[in-house]
Amino acid sequence: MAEAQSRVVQLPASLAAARAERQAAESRQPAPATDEQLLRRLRSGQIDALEQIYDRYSTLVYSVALRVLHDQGLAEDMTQEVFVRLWRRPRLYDPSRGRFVSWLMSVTRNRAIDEQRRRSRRLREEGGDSEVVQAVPSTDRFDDPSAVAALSDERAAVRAAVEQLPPTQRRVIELAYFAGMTQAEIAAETSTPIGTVKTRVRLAMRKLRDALEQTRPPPVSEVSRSRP
Amino acid sequence: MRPQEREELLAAYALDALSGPEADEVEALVAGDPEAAEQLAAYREIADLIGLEAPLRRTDPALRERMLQSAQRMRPTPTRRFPALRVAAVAAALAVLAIGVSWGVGLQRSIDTLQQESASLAAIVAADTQRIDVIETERVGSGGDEAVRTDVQGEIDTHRRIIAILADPNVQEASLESTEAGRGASGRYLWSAELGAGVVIAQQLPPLPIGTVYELWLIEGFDEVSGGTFVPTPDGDAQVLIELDFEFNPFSVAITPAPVGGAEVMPQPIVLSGWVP
Repeated sequence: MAEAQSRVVQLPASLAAARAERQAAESRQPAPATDEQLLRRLRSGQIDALEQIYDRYSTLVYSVALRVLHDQGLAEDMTQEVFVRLWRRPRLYDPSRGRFVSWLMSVTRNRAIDEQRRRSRRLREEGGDSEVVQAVPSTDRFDDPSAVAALSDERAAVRAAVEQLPPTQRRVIELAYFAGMTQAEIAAETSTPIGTVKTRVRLAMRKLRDALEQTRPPPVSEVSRSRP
Repeated sequence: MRPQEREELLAAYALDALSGPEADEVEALVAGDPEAAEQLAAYREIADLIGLEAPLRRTDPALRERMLQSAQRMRPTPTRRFPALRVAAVAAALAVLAIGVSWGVGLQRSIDTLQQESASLAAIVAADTQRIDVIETERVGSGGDEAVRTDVQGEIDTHRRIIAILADPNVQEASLESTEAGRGASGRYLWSAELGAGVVIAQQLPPLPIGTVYELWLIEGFDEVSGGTFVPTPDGDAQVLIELDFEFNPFSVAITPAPVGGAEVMPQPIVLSGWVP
């Protein structure tokens, strides 16, 4: 039997020097611009700010749109529309209403739901089956974590909080948020009494609130029904 | 209302899961109940985070290019507006500031006259410049309302810019012709390549329906870029300063009625249009 050997491998001097140089260079890199800084530059018409915002959030925007629309082409169109619209009218985002990422998700979700409703209406008018939106199972199989590193902790917390919900409560949340259904529509869709749906929504939202207490962004000062 | 019922409404409202009458009920509730408003705000924050639960999907790299190309074609910034109604407001402000100057002389002349009197244009511009200096000097000493002064300064800047365009000996000019919808209207489009700015001067635009404004459009191929909205004088006259900070070579210009705030795409009917040389 061969004798076990233990060897400490030294980093060659040339590699150590290169690594030190790389680390020094990295430490000289400026900190990434904040959303607020990028939005200020966007308002003054700097296209590179749009590129950075796109690089930071396009995966998220596309994923929300895809989750609502279940159509890759439509989700791409929606993603493009959201960012071009932001470019054309950057003042649509009002910082007093909350964080930029929340606003962006809200805009994407609302526009995607509008598109989904138009599509469903068209299908009904054309005599086809009214499209029933199914909740997509949560999975990280195709995730691209590097694209939203800044949000990874928050996202993990949200996913964990949602996954901890009982399946019936999770479903009402998903149908409301991703399918844009009212409680009455959820009741019809799931063949559940409306009172039960209301209770499930309340319990689910309360559990999410409790679970995400530490993750929540700063309070939003204004309360308004109108979504961006 | 029982606390449980109230919480049900607030939680569902935050998710946009209420029908119209129920939503109205919540709005009435939070309007008169700060505690309910606070509770709703907390639920809103939660609802806004739910999108993070969506499984992430990588976007097609080509989408980035498409989006950027589309964005680069669609943004005229900063767009400056020079509606004549505001000129009247500024003139009133100047009167308040005890400046007995009538300004915008060059703008009151038709472009045709200015072109014909090119020899005297420099003198007009010089005179206007002197007047602006007087306005600025007296404005600084006036201690007037800051908002008014800022407004005046903005108009002075715009005025200077338009004068500079008119004074450009290489200014390109296009005549804008009225359509059936804009019968009686006329206009000129002048572009100074050197300044990267232009001005549209329109006259006798038809009266607008309530709740609408006019919008200027620059057209290149299939791309339409808004040059901003404006409201003409009661006589239908207006001047609109255009400044682009990106590469865009319009081959035609059009003016259409539009909703306040501007239209997403160029609406119909066109009232004035012309080819750019």
